[in-house]
Amino acid sequence: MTFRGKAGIYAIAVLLRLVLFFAFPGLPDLLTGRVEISTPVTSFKRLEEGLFLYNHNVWPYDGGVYHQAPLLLPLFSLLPDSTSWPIFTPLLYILIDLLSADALVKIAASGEAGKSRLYTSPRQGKGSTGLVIAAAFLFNPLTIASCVGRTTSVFTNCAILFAIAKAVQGFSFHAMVALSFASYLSMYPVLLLPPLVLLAYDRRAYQKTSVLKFSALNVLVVAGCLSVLLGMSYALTGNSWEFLARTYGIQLTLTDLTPTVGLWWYFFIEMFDSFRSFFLALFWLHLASYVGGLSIRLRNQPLAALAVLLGIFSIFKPYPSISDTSLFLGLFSLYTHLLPLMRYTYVASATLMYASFLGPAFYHLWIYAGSGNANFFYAITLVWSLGQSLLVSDLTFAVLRDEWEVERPEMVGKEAKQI
Amino acid sequence: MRFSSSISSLLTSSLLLSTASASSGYHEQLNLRPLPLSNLLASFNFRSNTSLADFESQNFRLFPRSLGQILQYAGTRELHLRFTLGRWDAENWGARPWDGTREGGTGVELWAWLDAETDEEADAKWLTLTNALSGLFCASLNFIDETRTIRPVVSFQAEGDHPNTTLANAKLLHGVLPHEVVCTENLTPFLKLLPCKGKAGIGSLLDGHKLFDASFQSMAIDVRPVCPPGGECLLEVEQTIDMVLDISRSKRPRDNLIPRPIQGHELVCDTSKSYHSDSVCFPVDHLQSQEWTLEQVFGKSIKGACPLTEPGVPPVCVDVPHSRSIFASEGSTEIKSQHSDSRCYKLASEGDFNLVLTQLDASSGDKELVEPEQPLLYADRSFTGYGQEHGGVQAILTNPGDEEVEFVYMESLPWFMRVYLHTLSTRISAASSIPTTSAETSAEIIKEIYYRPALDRERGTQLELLLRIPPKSTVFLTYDFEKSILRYTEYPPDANRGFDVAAAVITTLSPRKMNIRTTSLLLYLPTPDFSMPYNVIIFTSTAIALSFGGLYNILVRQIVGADEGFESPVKSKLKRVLATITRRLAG
Amino acid sequence: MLLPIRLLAVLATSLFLPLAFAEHTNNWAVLVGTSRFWFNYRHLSNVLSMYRTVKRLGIPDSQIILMLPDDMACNPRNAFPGTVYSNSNRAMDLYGDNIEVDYRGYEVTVENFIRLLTDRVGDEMPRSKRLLTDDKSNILIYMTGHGGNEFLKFQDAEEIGAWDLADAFQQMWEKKRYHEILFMIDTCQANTMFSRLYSPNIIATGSSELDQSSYSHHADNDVGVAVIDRYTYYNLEFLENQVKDLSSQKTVGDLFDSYDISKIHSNPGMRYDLFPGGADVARSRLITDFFGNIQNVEVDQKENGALEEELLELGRTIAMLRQKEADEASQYNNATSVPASQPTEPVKHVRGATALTDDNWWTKKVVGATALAGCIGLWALGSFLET
Repeated sequence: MTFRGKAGIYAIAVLLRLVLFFAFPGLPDLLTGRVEISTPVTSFKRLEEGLFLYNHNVWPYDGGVYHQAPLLLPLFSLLPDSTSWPIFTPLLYILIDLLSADALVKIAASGEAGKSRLYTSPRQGKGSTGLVIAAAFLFNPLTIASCVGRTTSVFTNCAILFAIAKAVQGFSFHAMVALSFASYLSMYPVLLLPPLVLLAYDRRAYQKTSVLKFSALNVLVVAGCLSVLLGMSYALTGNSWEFLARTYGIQLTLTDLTPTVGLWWYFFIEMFDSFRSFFLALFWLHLASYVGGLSIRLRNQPLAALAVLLGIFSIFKPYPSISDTSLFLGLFSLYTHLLPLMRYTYVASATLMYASFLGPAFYHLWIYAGSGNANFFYAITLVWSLGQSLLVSDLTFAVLRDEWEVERPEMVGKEAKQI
Repeated sequence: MRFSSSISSLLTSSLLLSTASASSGYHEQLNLRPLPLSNLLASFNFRSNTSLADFESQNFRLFPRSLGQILQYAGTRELHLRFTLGRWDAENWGARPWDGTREGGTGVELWAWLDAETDEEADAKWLTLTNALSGLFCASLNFIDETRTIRPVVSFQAEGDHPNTTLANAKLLHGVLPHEVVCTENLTPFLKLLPCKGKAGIGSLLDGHKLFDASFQSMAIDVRPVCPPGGECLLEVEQTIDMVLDISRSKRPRDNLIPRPIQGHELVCDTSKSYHSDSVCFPVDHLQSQEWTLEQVFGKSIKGACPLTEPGVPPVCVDVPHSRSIFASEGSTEIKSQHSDSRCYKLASEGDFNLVLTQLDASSGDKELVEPEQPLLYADRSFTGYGQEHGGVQAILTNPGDEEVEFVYMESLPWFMRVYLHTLSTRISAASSIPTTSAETSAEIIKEIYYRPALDRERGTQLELLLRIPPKSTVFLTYDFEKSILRYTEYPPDANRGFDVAAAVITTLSPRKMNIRTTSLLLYLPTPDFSMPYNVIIFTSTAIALSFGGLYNILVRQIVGADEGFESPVKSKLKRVLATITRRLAG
Repeated sequence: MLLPIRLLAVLATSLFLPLAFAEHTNNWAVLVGTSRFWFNYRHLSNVLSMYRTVKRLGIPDSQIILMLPDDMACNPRNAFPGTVYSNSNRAMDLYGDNIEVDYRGYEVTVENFIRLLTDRVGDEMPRSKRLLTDDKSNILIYMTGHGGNEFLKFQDAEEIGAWDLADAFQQMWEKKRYHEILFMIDTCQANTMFSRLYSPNIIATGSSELDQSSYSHHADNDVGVAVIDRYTYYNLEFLENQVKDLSSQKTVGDLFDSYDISKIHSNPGMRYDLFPGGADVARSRLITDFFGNIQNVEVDQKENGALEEELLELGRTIAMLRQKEADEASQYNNATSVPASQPTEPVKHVRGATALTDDNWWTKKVVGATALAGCIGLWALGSFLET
């Protein structure tokens, strides 16, 4: 993959986004207002509100509108005012997209997807090139929509991709720092720690320490980084820990029930009050339960474990949006060499297309036209979640089948089942 | 400039009352003022005094005991309670009665200064006060909880004479219930607080059937300490009822309230129209002056004077030009005011009192009513946008006069309206050609903002803006908000009606103090399907189980070839049975 | 030897006491409407006609709990403002000039109803909204609305079940909160609602059997909706024509016998088995025992001499209390200064509305730059350590 090819892709992506930002002046605000793109913990409009309050000496966490990390406020206040200089915010988001794509290219270039320390895939050379992966990520409509909608989950995505890229390149400290940034911004990336540590261990330049020591050290690094970031937030918000309840507490207790593309909102709207905390704990436990199993079963391919986990998180986290799906699809494109092994690609892709066209339509029927009710949109979220879970489990099956075909090379191309 | 007679008449009457009130216990006054388009404004005002010493030793004579005990129990220094329905049409009716200080937002509005050192203590006393008042006034005031209570900073000032130490330790709390119904069960305890209990004096005119048929009505109770110079301090309770009655509707008989078409020969037609004939008529009776009597409009006449009132203050006053003739019952004396278009009547101590106003001939050139005074500010508020996701609020504030008006605009919004304060903007459109630069506009209109954001399920939004409008201009104040979706149990039983948003309170600071309230708004929130809680739980759990189960199976199970591996015994048996059946069928 | 005789004497007196005090001393009425919306006008006029009936027969407002879930009189759809009619002849205005509604609007919920019956309310609940009954109170409980097989719908949003009602009544019995209850219910399948009661001293009657609906009586064309239900209409007809005042000797049995199934169009039911003495004793109770305010007097059995001694004792107690109060007052006046109370815990300043100010612009920029520097520093630390 030549430099010219990569620069070309990047240039076209930048141009496309600039056109969308400036040729259609109402488009960014329209996309920021859509529930598929913005959630209560990632919405750009809420960030603007928090910024306004912060700049005017009102404690931004006193209210129920701003639920994002405190450090975003001083960092964004460095940018000039978005109404009078409307170029800087789009440039920042385009830059983040480019950095994410770059991280993906680095992950692809390392070849980890085909050949990890403990496992070499028989289909190693048949994957996509870095150029194709970058293009798939940058020109994915979901990614473009998240960028133009200026959702702050792109920062989390970028941090996660950086963490994986640095781990693949062997820089475990950088990887841990990036992961702690991601966890600080949204809570769920901390669940990616086990596979990331394993990936970093596998890709280390030198092979001296044991797994346990290495893990303990990296966990300490993450803990230290997080405490530094939380300490800075503590100092920033007037020396109080109350911001924790208003940022991470919102994700834990789901006080804001704005519709998203996920499963949580309608369930907890209709839930009876006496069972609310039980089911909140259950849903979080369910989310966390995949980490252990996947890390153990896919020990040989920690990158695959990370990809599958990110797919699961994009379905089952409390406030999912399409930017999480775009992250999963970006990592999915690293495993295109396994596409022949997947069983349900047509069904999954058809379901996802179905849901992505009908979702906005049914939402419009419910909220604007008034001729549909909440069940329409809820059904589409169910279909979207089922389609994504089909894709995720199919990917897992393909990865495991690939591993199995190393032991049983005669079964290449034959039907297989599980017992 | 014409000295507005209505204001001055109210001023004179209130001056009379205040000088007299210092000395004695109870005063009542009824002001009748015909308004344009055949409406009638009736302002009832009742004031009782008690000395603070009597109040503390629970010696209640004219001050109502039930209210007094509540105030003592809840440690209230000053109390203002309002029940309001309808809308004051400022364009036609002019300035509000009492300068808007005796009206509240639609529904119930309550604000009080409570003796408390800490905020928790104030909250506890507020709980006691609202619950006790809900029992006394048969209103759901107990719903005024922390989500409907705010602590205004600049909008309200204490009206009574408090010593400085007391006010420093008192906390102001303000609660609204915009959806509250006001009906006869709220009027009944109101009348029972009066010394004459609505059986004599002007209180005997108050009837729920007429009061709740009014275009605008407001019942107010104000309790405050008053310290006249050189006298001892008194605790005064003032009860006010304002109502705007449509004269022609009020004259309909009780048992036949439905308007029926009148006979053709009774129609009053405009004969100047070109098409006027026996079969074509342009009705003009609404333009004619109305004739009405007190008994027709209120359904009954005043049953004598209340013997507890202070003699010397004529209780019934009518604001009409002196040229209009009014007939009053026997035994009453008429006193015409020297410097305003108003006359007052002293009632006979016994016997019914009635007033008759005759129809004015249109050609005589006499004026029928006193011109309403132009208000200082016109205020309207409405929702913008569509759909149940986002919306905006637009307030249109107009200054029709020649002086700049400075005022505080206060909003108490529910927590499920998520206000985006960074979208607050103002736009001025000047009616006159006074050149204003654009830089001067937005920055100069809003001088200060006091804001307490809402917290989900705990507090509502409190927004106070200090604004300044140049003369003869209109300011459009807009901001965006987001409508949140609530939990299943948080919707009221009639969820599709919508939620009420309380009226905005405008307190003008200069050139003079007065109050205006906008109308309340109806907010439509997205609703879930209320018939589906179990279904939703089941569907979502199924989706989660399907994906968890599928992934779990893939991770845990062994991959084997399609034809390898052992078959389950059930499956093999089924296969054998099926093979036997096909064999038998084939023969 | 003396002990068993004393025991026998105590037992004998205790046996005779209940018979001597079998009558009630106060009457209460709990009138519950459970329907919202204009087309359920007739349910509220049912309740209001019962309200006017019990008021006519003497029960004061302080002993009536009236629950109206919606506002019909001042409803914008009401052509007759401030008025509720139960008859199209519009002879009587049920709302009138003097009405006290204790629970209205959204306050009429199942939880509030059960809390009212069992008196499990908070300290702040005002007395007018509480059922302050004792073991000598006769209570009339009247409920109307939309119901079904063992449930009654409250405001179209929730339901109360027959078991919930039965348990509430049992709690009342255990807390000695009633002497006798007359439970009347006018809904569809009303008789199922009292089928689960299991507390003593309750007479129950309902408007229709299982799988039977209750019907409205007639509508008023100017009001626009039906104005009264059949069962309540015929109950009122009996009460207005036969029970004119408190001296009436009509019994509950007379009322139940007056039900004509061909007019009510459903089978009203009664339940006497919970009443001691069964149907005979229940049917012989006077109407005014439940609908009117007859206050029987509990006469003390002690002799006059004892009474005079008690009065003297009371006089002494009053004098002692007065002296105590005078002492305290003088003590208060003599106190020179009242020591300021020390707050036990630090006063927590609650954040109030803050004024938006635009200053500290440069401070914010500096803080932002510091934060950015901190983040870059963390990253740079990584590169330093990795090399």
